[in-house]
Amino acid sequence: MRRTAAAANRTGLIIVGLIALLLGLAVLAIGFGFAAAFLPSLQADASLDPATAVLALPYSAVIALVVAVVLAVIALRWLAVQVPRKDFAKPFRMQADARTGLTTMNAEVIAEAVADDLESTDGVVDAQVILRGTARSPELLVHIDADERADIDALIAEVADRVAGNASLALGAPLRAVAVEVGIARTRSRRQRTVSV
Amino acid sequence: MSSRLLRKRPSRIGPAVVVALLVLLVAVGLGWFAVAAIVTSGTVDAPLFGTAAGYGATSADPSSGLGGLSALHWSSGVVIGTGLIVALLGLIALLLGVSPGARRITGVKANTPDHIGDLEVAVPTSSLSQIAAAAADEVDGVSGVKASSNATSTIVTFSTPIRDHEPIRAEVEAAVRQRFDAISFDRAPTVKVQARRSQS
Repeated sequence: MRRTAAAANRTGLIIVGLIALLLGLAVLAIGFGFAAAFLPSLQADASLDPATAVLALPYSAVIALVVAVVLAVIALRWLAVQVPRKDFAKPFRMQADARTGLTTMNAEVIAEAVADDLESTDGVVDAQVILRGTARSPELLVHIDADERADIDALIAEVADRVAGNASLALGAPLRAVAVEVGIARTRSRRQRTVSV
Repeated sequence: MSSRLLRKRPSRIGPAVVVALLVLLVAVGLGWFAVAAIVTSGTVDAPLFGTAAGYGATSADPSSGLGGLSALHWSSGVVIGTGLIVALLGLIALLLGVSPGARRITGVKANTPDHIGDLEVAVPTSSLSQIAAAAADEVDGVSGVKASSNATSTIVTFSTPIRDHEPIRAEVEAAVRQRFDAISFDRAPTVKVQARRSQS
């Protein structure tokens, strides 16, 4: 339900993976003597000098430092975006005409009210709600933890009809999109059961 | 709606964290050697090679620090081993990035009321396992249940002290199927039930 950096992760993995794969294959090609056919200077029994000579050039330490800083910044930024984000909507502006006054409402407040409404539903043990979008085009993300013996279809219908209806009525606009994720609440009474996924 | 609100495939957070940490490690190592070379030589035009043995290095000893690389040749075991490990790690990272990964949710059909533009309903595979385990656990004679699921199938393994467990296995399978049939899945998961004799 929370937003993750899925696209960035896959792009990063593909780029780093490709670079590492090509580097590794290049080293193996030279090491096993396959590269000598194309570049005679890269014999398998030759020393690493042609490659390491780059490190002996003037200013190579400064260049290495700059590369290290760039790599560190990229790695730290990549690590920082791994924390899943709720990304609530910005406060909704509810007024029809700003000249007569402003009415703003925090999305978290509405989400909390919707969660309370959900938890009052039979069969729902716990609920988390995220509200995104705008006041005129809101998107509701709902995760409910249902009782393991609850009627799931009836529960979904109740959420879509009554709870989402109440939210739509409170916001004064139809909900552009609603996503419902149905989890099952863990029960403590049945100790002999274990579940793996 | 063009994009779905519920994430169907894994985000590869674990592999991304590992690769990001490796990149950070490479950056720290490279930065360490670079700073050491600059500090040792005392000039900004210092080369990384030879004088990069670390703080306190006083000579361009080719066998120390990165200078030791020149003593190796391409067919030496260390170089080939390093190349093999780098290539393998690269291949794994590439495959993890390209492959979509296992679906983590199963879609459920639901009527969309007028006040909702687009309704998306799903059950995570972990919940499928819990639903199946709960249904199996209600059958008499079952002493313990394990269940594992992916988006299209669920495997339930139950233990029972009864020697002839086939009738119980059939009853458990019927109970799990009945529970799944009561939910309007887009594609109902297949159910496989296995019995295991437990000591009573």
